[in-house]
Amino acid sequence: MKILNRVVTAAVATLTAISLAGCAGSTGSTSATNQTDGGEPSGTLTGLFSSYFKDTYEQIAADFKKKYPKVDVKFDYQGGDVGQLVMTQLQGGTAPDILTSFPGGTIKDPADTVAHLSSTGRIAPIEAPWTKDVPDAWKPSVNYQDKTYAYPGALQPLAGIYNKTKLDELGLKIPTTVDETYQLCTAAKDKGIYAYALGLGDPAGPQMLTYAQLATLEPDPVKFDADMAAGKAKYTDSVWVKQFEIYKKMGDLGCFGEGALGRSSDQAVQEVAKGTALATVSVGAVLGQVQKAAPGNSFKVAPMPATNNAADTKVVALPGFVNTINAKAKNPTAAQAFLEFMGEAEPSAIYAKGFASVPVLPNDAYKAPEELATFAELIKSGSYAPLGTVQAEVQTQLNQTIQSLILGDATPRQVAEKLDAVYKK
Amino acid sequence: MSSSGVELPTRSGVPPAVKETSISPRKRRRVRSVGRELWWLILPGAAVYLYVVVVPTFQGLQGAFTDWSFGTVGAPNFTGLENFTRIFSTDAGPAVFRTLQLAFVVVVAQNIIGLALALLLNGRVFGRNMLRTIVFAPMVVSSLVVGYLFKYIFGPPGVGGVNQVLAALGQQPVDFLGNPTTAMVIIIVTVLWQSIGGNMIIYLAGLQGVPAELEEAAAIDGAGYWTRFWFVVRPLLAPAITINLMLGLIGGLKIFDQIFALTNGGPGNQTQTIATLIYTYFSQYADYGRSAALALLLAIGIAILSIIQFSVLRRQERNS
Repeated sequence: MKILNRVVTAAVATLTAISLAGCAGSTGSTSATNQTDGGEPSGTLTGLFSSYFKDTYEQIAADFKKKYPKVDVKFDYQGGDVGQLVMTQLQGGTAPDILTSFPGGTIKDPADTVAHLSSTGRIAPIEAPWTKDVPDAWKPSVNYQDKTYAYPGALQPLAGIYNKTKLDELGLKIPTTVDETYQLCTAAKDKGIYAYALGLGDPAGPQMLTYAQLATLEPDPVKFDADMAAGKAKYTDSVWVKQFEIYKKMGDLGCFGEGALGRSSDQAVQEVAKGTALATVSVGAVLGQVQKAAPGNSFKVAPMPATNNAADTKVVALPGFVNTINAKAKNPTAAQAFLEFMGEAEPSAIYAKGFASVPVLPNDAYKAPEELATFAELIKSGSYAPLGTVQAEVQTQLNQTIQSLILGDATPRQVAEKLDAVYKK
Repeated sequence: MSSSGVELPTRSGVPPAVKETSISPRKRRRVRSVGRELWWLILPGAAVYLYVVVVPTFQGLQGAFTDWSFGTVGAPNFTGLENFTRIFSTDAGPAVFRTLQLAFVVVVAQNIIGLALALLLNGRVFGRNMLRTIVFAPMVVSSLVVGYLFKYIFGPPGVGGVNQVLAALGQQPVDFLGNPTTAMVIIIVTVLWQSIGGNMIIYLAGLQGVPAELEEAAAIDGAGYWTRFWFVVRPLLAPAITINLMLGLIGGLKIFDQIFALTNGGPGNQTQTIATLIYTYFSQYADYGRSAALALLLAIGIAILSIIQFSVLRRQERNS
């Protein structure tokens, strides 16, 4: 009996030790095995992407398999916040070979961004011919210390997406100045509808209008970011306050309709598709959803004015999601081959179409559709602005306090003060 | 042995005295210890529990005193109580108050409505089994799914089901989730709709243990319905009340799914509770240390309140 007890005690102790060791070592347990067959990619390639773009990735994966038949592509798709899942998987050592990440970011801000992931060695540099073709303007979004860490995909507008059919039916026009924006709100209200359906009830919904208008208000977002990091600038002393004032005025004028703070982004899209609202302010990828919901209507993407000089107006262009390679990928060869393939003309055009956006890499196979024609022209003429870097905690605070602003619980300046309070220098 | 000195047969037909003397002390010990030698059978389950619950709990406990975040490279640094001081210098204060408020309202409403339904469906009501099933059914649905369903039911004008009904009736729309007060009410309604079935079932089980002859005797003595309930049924329901209040308090303090789906703590942070704040710290700020610190505080808070509530209820139970 004593012997049995000792054996069992030892077994329990061993199990405990194994469990503890398993937990402690989980982040570094994945081995990077190079599954090559005479240099030709083979084996299983895994990836994680947003479920909104499943069709696009599946189409690219199918074409990739035609080129590399020995690779078995197994992609997963996640609805909701894909960035959080990537971070959790990286933390747990269970992340796939190809990741969905966000462009730019800062080293200090722990987020699923290229800057942070590359500086902490969580993603691997990409070795593909297209890396030398990344335009200078977008290098900070995908590069770190002169190496390219992300496939930049395509430039999406962050702008107003208007139901052109409804606007024409009511005899209204897309505004080109901020005063015209206010007038559109009043005119829409007079006709029993409202102008802008925003996903103000979503965690990341309120920020859209702010970012869309900052493109015009902030002349040099890169310098502003650098000044913020150096402690030379503050949100309270910046043009952000001006944007919050516009936001407040738009809210007071009823631009966002009844029950705006309870509306999700999906519901906002439905409102624009139905013609209950004239427009939403979001990323270009939403265009596909709204077109799908109202195939008989025509839609137009246009920048959100923030001043009364139409010539000042710029559109925000951003490579929404980017794709990166897990530094501990089980099949790095196939992962490198896949991202190299994505940069080719045809897959790049499929990607741009799926994301309702314009390719970042020069691409002869791409022709902008009519609804993106204005955006493509603005990009071509240089009338665009990249999105500045916003830290994760600042962004969460921004979304929460804009809701307070619309509720009347905070002033534009108080919103900016909240952002300053959580900014990490 | 009976008082009359006559040996009464037991149900098996063997007199008790004979039965007792026929079992040796050694055999009795063996009967008492049946299964003890098989304790190792719990090892696989214990190992899984250790790995899935105990180890992460201790890791979380340790993490609460460090700067552990997504950005941590290597081992996190020990930061003492810094996470705790940061929590209370920001937005946790109002969230604590809101959590207590929400838990109190939910516990009281759950028990009043659950008990009322149990009393109703314990009587002779037409289709009572079906009604019991209908009331209990929401319990088996995922809380997150329920939350998203109610988000559409109480959605904004033009979208939400209730607002469409109001519009069809020519009534003014209501901004259910965009207004902090109504949003909190909708959260409470959603939680109650889903959880009341559970309370009802526990009370029903308690009510079925109340001897009918006691109620009949009280009725013969002239006691009315409420008098019978208060002096006969209620004391016998004390264990069920204890269980329901305990489970209600613990569940109420950590409500997350419904808030996450309905409002995500908004609008303007006005429905943010400790549970949603833990999620925000963890998932949006990737600040695992701060999140673990707040989770630790919540666990301690729940433990203290539960112990107080349990001791008070047990005392009342004994007095009953």
